[in-house]
Amino acid sequence: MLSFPARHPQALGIIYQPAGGLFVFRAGILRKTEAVILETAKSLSIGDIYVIVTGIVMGTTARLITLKVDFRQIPSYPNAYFNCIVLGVIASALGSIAIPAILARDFVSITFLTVAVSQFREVRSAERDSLGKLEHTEYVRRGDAYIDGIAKTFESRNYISLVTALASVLVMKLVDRPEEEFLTVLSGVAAGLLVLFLCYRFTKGKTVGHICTARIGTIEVRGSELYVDGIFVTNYLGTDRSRELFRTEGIAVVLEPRDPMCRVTLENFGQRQAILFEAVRALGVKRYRFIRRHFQTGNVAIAFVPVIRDPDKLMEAVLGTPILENSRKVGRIIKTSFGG
Amino acid sequence: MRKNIVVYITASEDRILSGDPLALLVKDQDEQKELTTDPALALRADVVQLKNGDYVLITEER
Repeated sequence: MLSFPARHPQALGIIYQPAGGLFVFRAGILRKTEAVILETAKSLSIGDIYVIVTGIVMGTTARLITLKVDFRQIPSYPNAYFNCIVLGVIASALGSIAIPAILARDFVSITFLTVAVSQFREVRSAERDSLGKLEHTEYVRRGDAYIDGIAKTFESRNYISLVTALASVLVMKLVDRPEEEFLTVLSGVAAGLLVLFLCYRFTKGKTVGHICTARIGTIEVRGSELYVDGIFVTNYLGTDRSRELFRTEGIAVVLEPRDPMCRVTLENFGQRQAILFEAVRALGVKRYRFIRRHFQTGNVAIAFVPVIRDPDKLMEAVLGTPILENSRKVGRIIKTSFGG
Repeated sequence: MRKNIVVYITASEDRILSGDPLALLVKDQDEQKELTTDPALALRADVVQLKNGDYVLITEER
């Protein structure tokens, strides 16, 4: 490192020479000094490298584990996978470097974490824009509420990666046994896995299956009106063809809220839109898709003509639909699965 | 999502008003039924049969 104050002789310049000692240039005179400069402390030891690499590996592993393809089928394409993995590596790298940097008294490194936060918020925003622009290409709209939930999940998974790496490195630094590197690494891995498990449980959230029961409904066509288990759904069946299509190929499911509190959540428009989207996404749709709630009972009926007629898959998709943030108004439902 | 009535098919001239939507006067019931099909296919419209027997073709903007 060389900083030579040619224009300002009063300024302090430092010349670092590992073999010949440390020299400073002060008031125009080159002086030898015993001072320890920060830059020497910044050089990485083998121990630090172990710690940082383990942190990055744990953070990336956390992202890979949370990258599973679930019923939402997002991400579902190699490019999207790759984007997520690269972001996970970056997040875990930032988390890994933070603790060693702070221990080296480089407190400015905290600002990297704020950069990471703003970067991940950009990820959320980009995902929301992307899904929003594709809305018109879907059979059924996801709806803004569902898109917002998916985008937030994307963001939070990067934080899981960062926090996992941070915790791994912190524990490794606390344990820090230079003569037993394996034990140090093992403690970091254990801490990372624990934090990952806790974060995953904490952010998992509830599904529609937690707040209501579902059953396959009986379709009944009366004139141009469609009923599912006696619930009026639509009067769009004005042609003989549409009536016959529903009688022979239609499928329906009825959701019944477990209690009036759950009904509040189920009746949220965004929530019902998300349920319809998942139902249609799971089986495909030949024609028509309807969702209707019954004002007296609070039951919700979904009916459509699917491509694949599989009642079990339909039930799984409907009950597996996540409860959206903006519809979770009831205290009991807001509680996370953190404790099991 | 905005919905529009694009065609109204009726058997009674009393229910025809000028202006939008297009109103078709068809007395024969079978002809009415047939007539709903082609515009519905062409316009990707849903067909609703009213209690009085008239048909309404509705399109949905995506």
